[in-house]
Amino acid sequence: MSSRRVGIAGVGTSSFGRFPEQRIEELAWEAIAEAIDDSGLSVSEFDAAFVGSVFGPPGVANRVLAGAGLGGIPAFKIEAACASGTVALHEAQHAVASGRYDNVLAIGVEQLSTKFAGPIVPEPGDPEGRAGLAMPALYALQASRYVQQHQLDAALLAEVAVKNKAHGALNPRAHLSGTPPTSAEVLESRPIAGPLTLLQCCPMSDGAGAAVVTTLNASSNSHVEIMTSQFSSGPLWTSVDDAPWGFRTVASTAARAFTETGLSVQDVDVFEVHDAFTIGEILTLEAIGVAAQGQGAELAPSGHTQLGGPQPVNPSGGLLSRGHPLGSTGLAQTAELVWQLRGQAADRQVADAEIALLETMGGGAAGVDANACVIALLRGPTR
Amino acid sequence: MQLQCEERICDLNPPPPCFFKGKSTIAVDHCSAPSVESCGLGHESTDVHTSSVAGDRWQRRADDVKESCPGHTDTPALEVREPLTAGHSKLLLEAATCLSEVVPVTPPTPADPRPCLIGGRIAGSTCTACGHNAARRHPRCERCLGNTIATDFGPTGVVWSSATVHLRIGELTPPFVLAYIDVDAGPRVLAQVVGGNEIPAGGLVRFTGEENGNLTVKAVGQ
Repeated sequence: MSSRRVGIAGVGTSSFGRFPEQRIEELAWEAIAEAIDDSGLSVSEFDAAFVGSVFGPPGVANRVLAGAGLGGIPAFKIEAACASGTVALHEAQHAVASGRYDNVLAIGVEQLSTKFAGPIVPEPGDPEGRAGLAMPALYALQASRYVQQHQLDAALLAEVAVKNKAHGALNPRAHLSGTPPTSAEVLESRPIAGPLTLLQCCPMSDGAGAAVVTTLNASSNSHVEIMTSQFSSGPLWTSVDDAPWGFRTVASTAARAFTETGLSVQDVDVFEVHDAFTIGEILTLEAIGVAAQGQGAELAPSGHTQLGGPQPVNPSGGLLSRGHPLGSTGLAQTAELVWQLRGQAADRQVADAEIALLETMGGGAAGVDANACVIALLRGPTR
Repeated sequence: MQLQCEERICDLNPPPPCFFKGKSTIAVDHCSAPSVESCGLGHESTDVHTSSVAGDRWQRRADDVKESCPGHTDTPALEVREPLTAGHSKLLLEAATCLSEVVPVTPPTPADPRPCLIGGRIAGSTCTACGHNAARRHPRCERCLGNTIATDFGPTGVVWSSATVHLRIGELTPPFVLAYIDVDAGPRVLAQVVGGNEIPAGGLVRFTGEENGNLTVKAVGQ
């Protein structure tokens, strides 16, 4: 299938935090305005919009577009768990690559503060949700097995939180700000589930992100190319599969992205990956191939994935620091990587970043390896 | 005339700010001379209101409008009809139940999707085509849509992982311990560990029953 090269011409986000006093639409408008201004396009040039949201109420996509000068274009709302926004980006990329549309807006928007007083209430229609398997518990079961299987000190997990919160302290839009915690402070925070303590879990955040996806202008000094975008929904996760939950889906999606582009994991200069919980970043980086199985927990404390290290991961602060407004996360990750590849990331800039990897994996349906995983490889403009 | 200042309900209220019609916006007061002849949804004040509760809601809207518009002093009287009674047709009553603002209606909880035990074993199914074992009596295979036969799994299994949960989740009071159990020659199921202690991966467990609908296990030998 012949396809057109696709670029991201503009990105934007809201701030991330708890904003119950705002309408959910206002969060999206903030991100959209920044993205469209950044792209130089006008609202009349857009052909469609893909809007990712998990708990966004019915009609939210239309209210968002109607209030942003974009009423009248086809509006698609996508729910793919934590990867909803990333699937919106994937669909936008595919729509432009295939020639279906020329200029598409990918949006993610979520407001958790007006939905939940505590953690996300598991879905009572799901066999494991009904049995009390909240997301922290699902990740805790992975963490518990991981440290036992590889005979690791569970305290090692905390290093991911220390790293990402140090990165997040440099991000003025992050939900969590201020002095990053020490390893001891992470470990001494309230126990949540298994080896995971409070500071190893992402905060419940509100926020939005947006990206303008269009045909690539290779001579532009602002277009970031989406070299490939790969999307999978996981197969059954059963007792015959000894891999951690979601692992095989992330690994196979990453393998397709590398095959498609001819790149290898060593070519990636900067990553934004799904660190809803500390163990999530570790398992994801192993699945992508940054480290062998059982060695991912060493990546943060060794400095490999820290800012200034050879392959920084989550320079934005990740979900652990920027926050995790579910459907918005993929576009927040996208915005960070576009800024990184353009050299606009200020205090958290990764030097000479040319190739970036975006990964989001969302799940929660019982017995399913992952509801959705998207991995995209991005290339910065020639500078 | 329509109300234009009923936030969240009236779709005629332009969302502040309008980003793209000139980029910057100014605040405009649309409420200088409202009339409560009709609400933002276009209901006339003579619309049917089935209860005094609905009447209260109607009144509150009018009051909100009045408060936000200092120049407005005239709140028209509201017509509130009597609640529907047995004198009304069955059809009307059913419709009123569906749309009721009168009686708080709790919708039914979704059908219970959890695995269950029969005689201490998981009531499951096995696919006659691909051999996949499921933890429910599925009529068709969840893996390949093949035909299935009923199979009971257990009563023992091996812990894949377990973790203590310190969050209050529904009826579960923390701390409680959840575990994935690979049932002997069967599926992987989520269960609650009785006794309150995590069991290391590889530990042998036996199903002991159900608690609030959740499968329970305990370590064999305890």
